[in-house]
Amino acid sequence: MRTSHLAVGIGFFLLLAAAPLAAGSYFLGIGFQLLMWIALTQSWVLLSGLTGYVSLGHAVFYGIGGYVTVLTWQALPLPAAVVLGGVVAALFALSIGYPVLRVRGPYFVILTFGLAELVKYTVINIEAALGKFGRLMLGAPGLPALYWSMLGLAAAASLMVLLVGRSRFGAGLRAIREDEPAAETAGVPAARYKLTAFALSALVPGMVGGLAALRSGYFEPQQIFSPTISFTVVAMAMIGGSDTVRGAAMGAAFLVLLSELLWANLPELYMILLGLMLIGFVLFAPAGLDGLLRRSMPR
Amino acid sequence: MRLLTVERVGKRFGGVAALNEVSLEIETGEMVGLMGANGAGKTTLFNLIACSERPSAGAIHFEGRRVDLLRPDQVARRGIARTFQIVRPFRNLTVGENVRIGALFGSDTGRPDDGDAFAREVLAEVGLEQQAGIFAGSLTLSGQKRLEIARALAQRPRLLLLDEVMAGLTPKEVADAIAMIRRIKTKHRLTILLVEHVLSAMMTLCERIIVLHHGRKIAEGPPETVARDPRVLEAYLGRPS
Repeated sequence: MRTSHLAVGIGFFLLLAAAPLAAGSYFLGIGFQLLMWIALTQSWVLLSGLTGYVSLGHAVFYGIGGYVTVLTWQALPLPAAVVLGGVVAALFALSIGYPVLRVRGPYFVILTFGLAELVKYTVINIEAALGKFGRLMLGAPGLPALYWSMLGLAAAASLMVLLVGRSRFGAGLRAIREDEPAAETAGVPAARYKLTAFALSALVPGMVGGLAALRSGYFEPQQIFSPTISFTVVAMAMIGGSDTVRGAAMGAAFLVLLSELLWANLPELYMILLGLMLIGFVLFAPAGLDGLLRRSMPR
Repeated sequence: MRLLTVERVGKRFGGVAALNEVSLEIETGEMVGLMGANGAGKTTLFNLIACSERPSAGAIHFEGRRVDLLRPDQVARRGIARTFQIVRPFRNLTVGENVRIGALFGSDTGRPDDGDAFAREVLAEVGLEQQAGIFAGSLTLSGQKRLEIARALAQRPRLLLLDEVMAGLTPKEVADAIAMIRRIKTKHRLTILLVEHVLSAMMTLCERIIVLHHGRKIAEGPPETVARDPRVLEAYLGRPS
């Protein structure tokens, strides 16, 4: 990424940072959604885009973060609770990572999906045993504060992908994606690198889940651990394309805007269009919007 | 000085013994050839030395330290690099990035501060400097074999294992490859163990040749002696009637 691109990225986030001063709560709500999906998609790219280990279970980290925040509600100061959610999600990734990252390809996809569902139903059962059927969080902070926090997370996740992509660590991850045995033979400590990437890619989603729970003011495991979140992240990364910061941001922005435009009037059309687009991108533009943009702007 | 010691090493795959009590020693600075028909165990031996597989028996020492229980990335850090018989470039990365990865990782000693500059230097040595910007997957076979060597060289190894780097090359390319291997050996002060089906190349390059047959070592010595050894002739051509 050249300096001009970096400037565009910084400008983008500065513009969004100023939004609460001008925008009404409807647009701020959309902005919150947009930033949330950018943060989640970037985090996913850090693992799946760079290593090729496609996770279909990132909702689990988001859900864990939300759950931590609701469990510590009124026991911990909110910023601490949200950060703790991220840390717990990352620790969870570390603890399951070693066995999970031993399998590749479709097995990894199915395993991450299955694990996320397992955690979801475990939480549902715990909540049921405690006699809780959804929890309310009354007195959560207002939208502008949550918006700015989410902006911080989106920027942090983007910066993380950017820095990792340029580092020695990132080079090792790309080597793993291309050919793991050959990468190891060249000296890349594959097991440790994969585990680190897995934990890093869980950290921000954990915090995002906390903010999202605060935003809705309500916690319900079916909703916050929903596999739809995992699917949406994958769809955004695929449509945005490749393993770049810009691609993930474009994919998230594109789908958030599309869903806002269609959701109100033609919700059925949104899902149909999404399906068609996914097929189209996979077949004709596997490098996504980012790839199309690069092709149309030759250097 | 003794660089590598392979001590009564065996490898079984289920009931099949791919290697049986193979012992060999390599001195620093040598160029040793490993010869044998298909299935003789050459690549298996390479895999054991590079820690891609664990031996079922015996031990391997490199620079006096035991290495056969290490992971592949650990043995790479100790200073052993290899190429693959069936090339394994990082296809969707550029040629330069492939070599840069070797430079950024590889051996613990002499890691360059500027991986890109180092990669360019190494690419020039194998004649790929013009192709640095293209994807590795779009190189010709000969180019990919050179890239394998460049990536291994960028790892700054002290022992380099070359697995059939000349298979499938034209006679002209073979001649170039021979000259290149000599050049890089001198320049990087390498010790080389190589497997080659192009026998003439092996005879020209190596000071010493080790012959494997059905997983056992059957002969060892200078090329001219090995070529006349009755056991080798029998293994390759069958028993004279």
